[in-house]
Amino acid sequence: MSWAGFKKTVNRAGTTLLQKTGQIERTVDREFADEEAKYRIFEKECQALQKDAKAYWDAMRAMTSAQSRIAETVETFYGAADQSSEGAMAGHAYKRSVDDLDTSFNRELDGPYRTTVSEPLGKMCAYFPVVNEHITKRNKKLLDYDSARSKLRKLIDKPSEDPTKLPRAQQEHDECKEMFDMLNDQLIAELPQLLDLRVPYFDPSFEAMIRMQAKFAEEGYEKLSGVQRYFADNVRDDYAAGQLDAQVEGILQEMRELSICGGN
Amino acid sequence: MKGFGKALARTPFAVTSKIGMAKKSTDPEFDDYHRHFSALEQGAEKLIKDSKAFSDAVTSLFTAGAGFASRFSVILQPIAGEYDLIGKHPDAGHTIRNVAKYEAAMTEMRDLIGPELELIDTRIVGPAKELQAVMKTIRKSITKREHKLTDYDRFNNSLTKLRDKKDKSLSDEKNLFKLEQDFEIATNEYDYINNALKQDLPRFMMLATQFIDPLFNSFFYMQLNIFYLLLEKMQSFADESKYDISSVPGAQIAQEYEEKRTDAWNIIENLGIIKRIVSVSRLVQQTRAQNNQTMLGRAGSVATSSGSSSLRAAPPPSRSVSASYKKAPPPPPSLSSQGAAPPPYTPSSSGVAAASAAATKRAPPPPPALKPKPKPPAPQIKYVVALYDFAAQADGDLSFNAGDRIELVQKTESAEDWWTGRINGQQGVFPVNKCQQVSKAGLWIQPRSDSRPPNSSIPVLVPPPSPSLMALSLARMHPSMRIPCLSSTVITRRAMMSALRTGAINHPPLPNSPPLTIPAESTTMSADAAAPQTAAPPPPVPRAEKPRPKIRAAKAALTITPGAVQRLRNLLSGPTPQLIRIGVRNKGCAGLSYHLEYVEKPGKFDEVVSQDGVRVLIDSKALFSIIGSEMDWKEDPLSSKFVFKNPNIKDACGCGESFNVAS
Repeated sequence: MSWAGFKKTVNRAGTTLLQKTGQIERTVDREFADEEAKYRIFEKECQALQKDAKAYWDAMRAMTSAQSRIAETVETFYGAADQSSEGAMAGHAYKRSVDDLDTSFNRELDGPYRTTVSEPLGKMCAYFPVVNEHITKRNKKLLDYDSARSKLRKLIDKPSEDPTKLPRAQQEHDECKEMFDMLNDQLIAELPQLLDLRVPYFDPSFEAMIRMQAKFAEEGYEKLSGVQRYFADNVRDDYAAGQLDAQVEGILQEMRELSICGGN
Repeated sequence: MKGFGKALARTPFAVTSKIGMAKKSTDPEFDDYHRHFSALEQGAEKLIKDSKAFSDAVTSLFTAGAGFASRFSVILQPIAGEYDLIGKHPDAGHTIRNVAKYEAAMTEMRDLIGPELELIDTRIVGPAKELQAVMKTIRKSITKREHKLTDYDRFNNSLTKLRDKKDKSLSDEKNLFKLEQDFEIATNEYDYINNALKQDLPRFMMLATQFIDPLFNSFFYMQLNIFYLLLEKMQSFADESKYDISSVPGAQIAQEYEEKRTDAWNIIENLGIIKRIVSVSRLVQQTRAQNNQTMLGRAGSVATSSGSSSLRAAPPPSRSVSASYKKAPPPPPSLSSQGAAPPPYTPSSSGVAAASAAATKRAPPPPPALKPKPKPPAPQIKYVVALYDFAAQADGDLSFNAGDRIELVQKTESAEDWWTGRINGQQGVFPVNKCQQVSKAGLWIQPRSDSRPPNSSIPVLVPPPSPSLMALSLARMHPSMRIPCLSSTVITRRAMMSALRTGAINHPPLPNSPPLTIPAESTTMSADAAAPQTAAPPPPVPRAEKPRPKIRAAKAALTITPGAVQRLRNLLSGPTPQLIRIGVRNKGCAGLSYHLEYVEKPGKFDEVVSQDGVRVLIDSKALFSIIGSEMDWKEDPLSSKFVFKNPNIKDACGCGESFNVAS
């Protein structure tokens, strides 16, 4: 921090302290406070949205890649016995379709997702630090203004010996006021605009997101359901009836009865 | 303890067999099974891991989806105190109306997915874990087989060694008997377990395949279900809200998005609050320039001012009013001086503090934009000057003589048309190509007309400006200048003749002209009028030069760039007359540095440089080092200052603050 900056910081700390103790009165700007509150909500939501959007996308990717890994594992199991059974065929088909889903998802939807959701969100979120900087600056200038004003008041109440003091204080006051007003006016004028523009800004992203979700679901469903052809006819009903679970249980039992599982 | 003893007993063999000293028997059949079994083991482990990863991914997919939806609905719905978003953004109305439904759908989906995930957990991960447990016991058996094999090999080795021994002692005989017994036991045990494994492992493999069949099927249906759920919800939502979710390539989605993207992006990018603040003082200056009428106060500076005496226009923080200001005659302090903003420029060095202090109290110089523009082009009356006589041929035509100035009432784009004009109170149309335009600046512009004007039988000549000399030459060229279609009508000839005549008579071709600037060069123009199509010499630059003091160079000692002129004008336009004097001081690392100060009136020997209405004094002592320089005003984010381009400089400091003229 530069020396000038340091001086300013110290002065402002003093002002804050005096304000806390009620020595210097604080400017209350309702209009700005309202706008800031709204902006804060927006900022928070936007950041959360960005996080969620990313999590959503990552989860989709994780889902497809987990599926393709599972498919690999299933193949190992079939590989242990014979390669040509019905189950092995189904396993193959499953692996193919899942791999297909994984790659096509990455290839086809990744770019569009980036342009339609991730980039606009990222861009908007990148604006926030700058806006915050403006707000901070405005708050600092407000402190300067408050302190200059209180100095001026004091001088008017108790005129000083030095006749140059008053005009100087006056000038300082005017200067601070101008700076503060400028920053404040800009924020008051532009924060609502920013908030207002969020609607047209995000509107297209929403639809794109829905369409991509729907596409993902549809493709996933179509690709997977193609594998059903390789299953035996009764599998679907068995699954629905919980028969498959019983089969699994039965086989596990059989395994346990193997002599090598005696563990002795 | 027994296990420990065994382990201890087996260790020597393990070591010797490792380093190849002892023989180790292998069973290829078993090894094959063993390999498969290990693969299965790893498979089971991976299956559990991936199933977990999958169900985690699904969970986070739906949680994030629901979160995304709810955030979106917050953002697209009125935030505290806003109203009628749809009214304000009718384009986004569809989205705004449906975002809540979307949120509901996503939340519902998240809740629906719970049982599915539980199914995965109990029906897939559970059995897989049990399978793992079974495999663990089998692994135990395999380890046991390893041990038995070790025992077998160990005793076998010892036995063969002992048997091969040539002369056996008594104890050897005893040992031999014992070893034979041990070997037999070990063989039995090993055979038993090895056979059991060889028998059961293939069966286990079969079972494992059978096991994975229903497991895989279940898992498949669960995954399918998840996709189905997602698809169904999305479709029902899209149906309800009329969204087109037909499956299209991803690139198309992106493309349609680009089409729908509104100019909100640009508007947001143009907002001031998303631009980084470089310096508040600069912002203040900009705002001042924008709304110059209501300016109060003065800019505080965030930029630091340079300590050197060179003139740097750092906007001075008035807060830093220092003792040096005392030097200045304190102006009458008055509260009403609120409106008085000092100029944003103040030299920062103490040497010029006097000036700056004086400046502080001066009435605010209006910000640059307030400056009256050089001369706003007032609604001017335009004139054309007739080159030839023209007699009205039809009703509404305007007659004129060569040299007459016709006031333009209405003109068209074409220079070959008929324009409406006024002369001596009469109004009518006239052929333009008989005239010459007088431009705003007083330039002559000749209508470029090489063809006949429409509706006119008047032949077209490209006449040079009217004065006599040219007229004569024109007369000489007359025949050759006949353009093919020049059907010499009476009017034509008459016009030509009168052009010659009037050209000779009315030497200054424009008598009694209105105050418009007919350039004084109009007579001299005849000289270069030989080139008919060229424009006249440029108008003289208005240069308001004041009477100068006695000593003055033939050429201005200092040239001032337009930027500096503007700046100086701002600085000097105070109520009290004041001047800026440029001097040179002996300081800085190179020896000399510029020094600017305010003075009330020129010193006795000061050189006055006056350009474009601003006057700058040069200290006579500094004249030699400054002469020929160019003074410029430079503003960049770091500083704003006057800079001098000095041809005399022989040597300068790297910082640019000081220089030297001596070689």
